[in-house]
Amino acid sequence: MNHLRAKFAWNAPQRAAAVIARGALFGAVVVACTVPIDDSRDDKRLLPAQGVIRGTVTYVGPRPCTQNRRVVGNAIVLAFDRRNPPPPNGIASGAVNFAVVPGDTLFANEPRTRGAEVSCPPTSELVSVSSPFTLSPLAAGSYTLVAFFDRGGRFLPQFRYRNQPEAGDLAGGYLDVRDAELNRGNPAYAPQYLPVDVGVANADGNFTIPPQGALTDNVPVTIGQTVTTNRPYFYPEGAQDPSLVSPTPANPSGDAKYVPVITMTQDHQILAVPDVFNVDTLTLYEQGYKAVSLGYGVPDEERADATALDKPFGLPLEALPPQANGGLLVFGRGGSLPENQRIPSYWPSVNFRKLDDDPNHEKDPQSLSFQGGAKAPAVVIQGVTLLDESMVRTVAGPVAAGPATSTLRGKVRVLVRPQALCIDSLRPDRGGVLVTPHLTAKSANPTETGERALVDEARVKQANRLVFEVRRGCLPLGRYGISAAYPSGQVWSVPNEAGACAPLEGSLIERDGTGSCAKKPRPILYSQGPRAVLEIVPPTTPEGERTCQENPVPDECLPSR
Amino acid sequence: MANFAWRSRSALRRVALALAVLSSLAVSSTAHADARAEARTHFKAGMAAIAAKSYDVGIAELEQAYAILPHPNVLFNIARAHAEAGHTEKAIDAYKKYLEGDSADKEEVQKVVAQLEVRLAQEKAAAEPPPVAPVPAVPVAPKPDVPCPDPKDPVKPEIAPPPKVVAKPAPKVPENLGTARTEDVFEETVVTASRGKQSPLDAPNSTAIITEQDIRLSGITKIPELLRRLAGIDIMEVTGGQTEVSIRGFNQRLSNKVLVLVDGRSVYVDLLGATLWQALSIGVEDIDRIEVVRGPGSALYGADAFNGVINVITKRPGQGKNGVAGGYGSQNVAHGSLWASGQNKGFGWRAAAGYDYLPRWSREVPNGRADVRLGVADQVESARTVRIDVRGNQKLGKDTNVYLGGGLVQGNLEVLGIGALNDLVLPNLVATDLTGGLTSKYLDVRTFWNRFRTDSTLNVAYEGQSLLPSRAEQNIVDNEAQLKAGFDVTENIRNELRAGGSYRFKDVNWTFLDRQRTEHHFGIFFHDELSFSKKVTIVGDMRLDYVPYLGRFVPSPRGAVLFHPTKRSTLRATVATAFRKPTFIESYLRLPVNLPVAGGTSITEGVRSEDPGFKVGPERIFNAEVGYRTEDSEKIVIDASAYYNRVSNLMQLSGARPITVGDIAAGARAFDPQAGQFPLLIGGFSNQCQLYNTFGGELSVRTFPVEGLDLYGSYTLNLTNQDESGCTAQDRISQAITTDARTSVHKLNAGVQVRTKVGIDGSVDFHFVGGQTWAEQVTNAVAQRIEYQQFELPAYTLLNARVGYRFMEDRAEISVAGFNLVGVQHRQHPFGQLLDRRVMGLATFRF
Repeated sequence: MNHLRAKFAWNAPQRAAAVIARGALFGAVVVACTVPIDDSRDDKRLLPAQGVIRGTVTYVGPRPCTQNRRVVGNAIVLAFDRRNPPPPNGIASGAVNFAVVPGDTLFANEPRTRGAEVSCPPTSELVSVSSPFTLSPLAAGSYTLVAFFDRGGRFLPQFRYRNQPEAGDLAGGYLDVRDAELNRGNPAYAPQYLPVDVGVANADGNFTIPPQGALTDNVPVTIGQTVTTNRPYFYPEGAQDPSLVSPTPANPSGDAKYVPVITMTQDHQILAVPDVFNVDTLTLYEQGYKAVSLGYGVPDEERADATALDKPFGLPLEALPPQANGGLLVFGRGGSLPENQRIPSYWPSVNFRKLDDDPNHEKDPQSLSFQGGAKAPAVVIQGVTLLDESMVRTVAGPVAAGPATSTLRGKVRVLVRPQALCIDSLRPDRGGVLVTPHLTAKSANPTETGERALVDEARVKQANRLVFEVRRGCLPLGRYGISAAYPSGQVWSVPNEAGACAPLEGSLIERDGTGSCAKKPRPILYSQGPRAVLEIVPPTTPEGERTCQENPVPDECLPSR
Repeated sequence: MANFAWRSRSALRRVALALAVLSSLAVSSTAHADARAEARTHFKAGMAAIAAKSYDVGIAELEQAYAILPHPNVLFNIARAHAEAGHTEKAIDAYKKYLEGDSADKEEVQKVVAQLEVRLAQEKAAAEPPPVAPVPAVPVAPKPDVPCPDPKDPVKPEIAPPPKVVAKPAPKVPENLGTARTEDVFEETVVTASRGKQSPLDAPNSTAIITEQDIRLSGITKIPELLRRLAGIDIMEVTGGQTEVSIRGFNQRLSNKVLVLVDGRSVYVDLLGATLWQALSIGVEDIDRIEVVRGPGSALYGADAFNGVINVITKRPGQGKNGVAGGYGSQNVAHGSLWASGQNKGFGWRAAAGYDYLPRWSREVPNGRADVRLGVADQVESARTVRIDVRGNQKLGKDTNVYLGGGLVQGNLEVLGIGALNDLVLPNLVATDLTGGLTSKYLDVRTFWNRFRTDSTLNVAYEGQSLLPSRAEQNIVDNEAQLKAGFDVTENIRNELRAGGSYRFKDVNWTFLDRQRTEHHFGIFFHDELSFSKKVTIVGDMRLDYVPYLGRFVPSPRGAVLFHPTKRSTLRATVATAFRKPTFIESYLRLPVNLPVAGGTSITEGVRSEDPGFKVGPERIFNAEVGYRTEDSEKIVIDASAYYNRVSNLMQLSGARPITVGDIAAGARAFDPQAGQFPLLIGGFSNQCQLYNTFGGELSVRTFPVEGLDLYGSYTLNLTNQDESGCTAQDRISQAITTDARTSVHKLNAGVQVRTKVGIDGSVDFHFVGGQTWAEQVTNAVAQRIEYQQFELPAYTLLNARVGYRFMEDRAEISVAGFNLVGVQHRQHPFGQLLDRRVMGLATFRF
């Protein structure tokens, strides 16, 4: 033992060193044991605090169809920003988020057919089922939840031609059930959507997501209202026809696939509404406008491709009456045009929305991308829907109060108002500037002299809550897509994916009047393609040029540079 | 800011003070810092003295060398010198100590010992006086003419002279003491640059070594962190348990451009294309040295040795003592290791086990988040692993060994991956290997089985989104044979030849792949070195790898010319290419990725559903390099290199492609009923259109001015130019390509090691990493696409230090080590965790 002690005996420096080292060791152990929260990263990669809506979808309706041991269709819950609703009340081109409750989950106990054929129980057999849903991530705000059950299993959220409910689906949402109960039996009743707030409400009415995120829980979504109409399928006449080469500023090469079906100069001058309505004055008034005719569905030569269920479109285009109940429903909106209270306004609501500038057709060869976002305003021109293709008939009526077989039409003529609403698409609730190249005009009645106001600002604001200001200025140049909307929120827009090949599908191959795509063969419906636009072109007269020099397009209508 | 500056200055002052104290301790007494260099100095001096017959001086020098860094050859030379000097007993002792080791010439040495023992016996016998009968003193009568003796000067009795002993001839020194081991046994060697043992001076690539001493003195417990001191190495600590390593740039989350070997065995996780360092079955205590070869290595190692090779060489079975080590520190970081080693009749074994707990540096998800759900409840743990590693080696002859071993790691790990797998937790990770082989003079054969199995889940996802749970299992069986031959072509020309072939079987079953995938890889390689008068060496390599995914062979040539202006310096010029093959994730992925819409998903797929014949091409690198290394002075080693790299075809996530009408027409699944989501986009991998031209250089200096003090410094320059001339307008739009400058232009490392005789050791390491601009692919939630975005990463400095104390004759050691002592919070990757100061106390006991 003494030997060992002697062997390992330490001298003074060693002892000192040992004390130092041991002290350091002790200090090392006595250190903070917490792992800090990292909240300083700015890349937003790791899930910044967001909002979540969680709730239950309750379906009350017919038992679902089944096929191959699976339920056909899913319940879709769409969240819209209440400040930016979809047409006809707003300009949102899509939901900010959507959730899916698979049919197999919603109808977990539903018996299923094993066969490959779709088997649908009688619609009289009702069932009530529920299933939870979650919508996330959501920014702070107030939302409207619209829901439907895609009974036909047709819903494809990524394509405009299949992203909305059709006749036979069941619709609903987070609704004011008590109000609906009170209006039971009222055919004109429009369901009232209740707000779903996400985040903490601020004094200014906006919302903020707290650091720990925001969960809005137990939101009941009800689906039970059968959708009675299909979407307002249309095509602008002439769009299916390969045109002659005709260069325009938005199509400088004159590519035939992009020649617009209608052009209008940015200084277009219309006539003022006459004081005296008769066939002549109303006809003259109508003739002051540029107009486009919207045919129902697709042209006859495209119908087979458009409707075939074994092809990608499968559009539910019924024949016109009396063979079936196809057609565009033209019925009264319950009000009048802001131009004159004696001219009733009609559904479908038609508007023209500016597309992203793409003169070489490289970024967006299908012409699908609407202008709007952080760096560019949305620009919308509203059309005037005529009854039976005539202003005279429009004024004469009779004005149908609601959709009915008698209101189905094979064609709708739409006048293009030379007025463009320029609005922040991210905050449309703040309102936009309605730009018109002319504030006054001569009357459509030659006997009525003097300049007359074209825009009654008060009536315009009353008719369109998105208008904040009316200002004189020329219309923004460019191509405008065309949309028609029913009060149900069902919308049809052109151009859409059916009308042209996406870059990944390859170039267009034309053969015997039909088109396909080089890499991924599929039919092309020319009537739904990039020709189906309105193009606003520069003035063609010295007077028009002077007008636009003196009243240029307002900055609010132009993309920021 | 002022407070920070004060803290920085104060900390630096404290470190400088500590450094000064340690330095004074070092120079005031016998001490040694770079043991290898100092041992070499003593060894050379000793051998010179012995050659001059100054045995005592020479033996003393050799004993000093042996004390610094024990080596059996030194022991042999000590024994031999004692024998020559006639110190038979000491010679026998030294030879016997030598025989305790696993010597190849055991029988010969035993004969020498036997002869010496005979000699010793003879010497002893000779040294003993022969038995002589006592001779009585006979008074001699005085002669009459002789006066009487003076009583004051009595006449001494005359003693008869003893009988004359005829000396026996001294026993001869055994004729065969064995040849002195004159080679520089302390010279650094590398085995990775040419698949054989050689001096770094003879390596055709830039090489660097982390020694056992570097490891011990650093106090580092994470293996990749050891490499930070080297020039040209990019180290990026992303999370607590994930450190990414690259060489000469192109580091990334799940770095995939460096081939990491453990004793020559690839530990590349093929399914991810990455090295998971925490999944290695070894701890820092088990490492003998780490060799780093900078520059393309595909000519020797095939795919994935893209811009370098790191070979972790563990302690040999039978090498070293038994021991136990443990550490504990900030945020409960913990490290433990124990090891045992033994040797018996040519059989050596080594067993080691360990435990590591590494907390995250920072937490991304605070408690109480209402909008997310978590993959794992513990948001603090980054890695928690236990490991065991057992290896054995049996000698079958002078040059022949067979070996067998295996390792196991089990635990949890958190990694930041790419794309949708950006924050991934791997619970229940199990990595095993079984390795066996034979080495001999002319043939090396090795086979190993690597198995990697884990569950995985995203760490966090929004409520309603998938956590992407998965299970993965990878089995790799790798077989390799290599023939070696060295012969003199003429008197002045020598040829070293190596050639071989490999077969690698890969089987991956992973939830995220389209299906279970199996691949068979083949490779043949050829390496030749032709040396002229030891002045000039020409090196040529060629390897052909068959990549089944590509369905073709990929060639990887390398050529080098080495010129030695002096015996211990080299001028080197190298040209090489390398490639990285698409990994399983890049080849066969099929993963639904969360989008910022609950009902939609993006399918990331390797085999493109719309274009099944599409293949991602291999990444390519062309390298031209010149280098200079000198070890002319015993006090300093300088290594410098300048290179040009041309990197092309880097793999990336391709821009997500929207599902088209044509896909639906072709029958693409429009709805995934299992996930309850609609596929909206299709993503995958593609090759970048960008090229990267890099001009760079490295300068490393290591000096040992006085015993006990070791200073090093290294500087790295990297000038990378991004060439987008090959990109189309569509590329630019779809990817939003931005400039990527993820590799710092300037990097600087410097440090000092001090080891004193009183037992106090210290080391300080300083690292400066210049600012970086990362082009990282992220999901643009607004545009719903994957695109490049730029992220600035400011420059940062690290100051790491360790002070330790050895006692009980160096058997025990306690120390405290600090990482980022200045305490500057920083990230080493734009998405990485927030690194701060971390201190750890460690204790080691060897027995």
